[in-house]
Amino acid sequence: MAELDQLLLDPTRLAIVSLLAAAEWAEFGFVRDAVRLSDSALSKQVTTLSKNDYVEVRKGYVGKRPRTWLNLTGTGRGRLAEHICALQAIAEKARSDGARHPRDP
Amino acid sequence: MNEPTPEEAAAALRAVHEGKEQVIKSALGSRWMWIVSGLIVFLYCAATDLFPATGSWLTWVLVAFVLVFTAGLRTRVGSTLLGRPVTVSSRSLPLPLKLRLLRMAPVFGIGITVGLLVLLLHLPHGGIYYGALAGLYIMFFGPRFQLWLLRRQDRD
Repeated sequence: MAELDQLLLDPTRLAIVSLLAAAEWAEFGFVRDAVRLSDSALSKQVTTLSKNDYVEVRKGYVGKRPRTWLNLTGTGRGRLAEHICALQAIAEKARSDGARHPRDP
Repeated sequence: MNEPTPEEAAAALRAVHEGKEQVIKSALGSRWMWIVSGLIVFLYCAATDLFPATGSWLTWVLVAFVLVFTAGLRTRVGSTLLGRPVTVSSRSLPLPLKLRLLRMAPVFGIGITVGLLVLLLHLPHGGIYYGALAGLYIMFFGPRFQLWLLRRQDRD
């Protein structure tokens, strides 16, 4: 049975990883705006995720402006997939339990 | 480990889906990219109609532009320069090239049919009208069509 990932139980981290899962590379600014975090709050979360090898960080320049891009690693993709399976199992179990014991009107 | 309640699990699954949708919407790029693409198509058609002798080298310029543009969109820096902060991962929306082409076929089919009609009817300056139609389509319906394609891929 698929296992829940402790790191992804945090909704903010799950939102970041979900965004990155659908992307090849995403700009730091895009992720920050999408998950509605400040630069420093997102930096903190990205550091945690990259320390655990979930996210890869690349820095570069576009013209003279520094940019940071984020990418979900293979490990991160695998953990997210397993976490999603575990979440689906919980939701599915609740649905089937509800169908077996319908509430009284 | 604290197991999430079914409600929390459902909310987390919704968040995962919303993440994908956000990436799909942002992958369309900026409006100006579509406007410039439409303008280039119009200018190409108008130039080949008004100055037929320039047709062959203009085609090479257009092909080179399309290649550079497509390659640019596949790199991080190029994508950012063209106003696209994110690139959709082919791993998250896998679809064989054949199927993707099949979905685009009706639009290309209409484009080719209209082009052939313009040629057969010998409309004066038909190339300009054709370019205007194709350019306007790219400017206004290009982003919608790409969004539709990506959403269909997501559903698959």
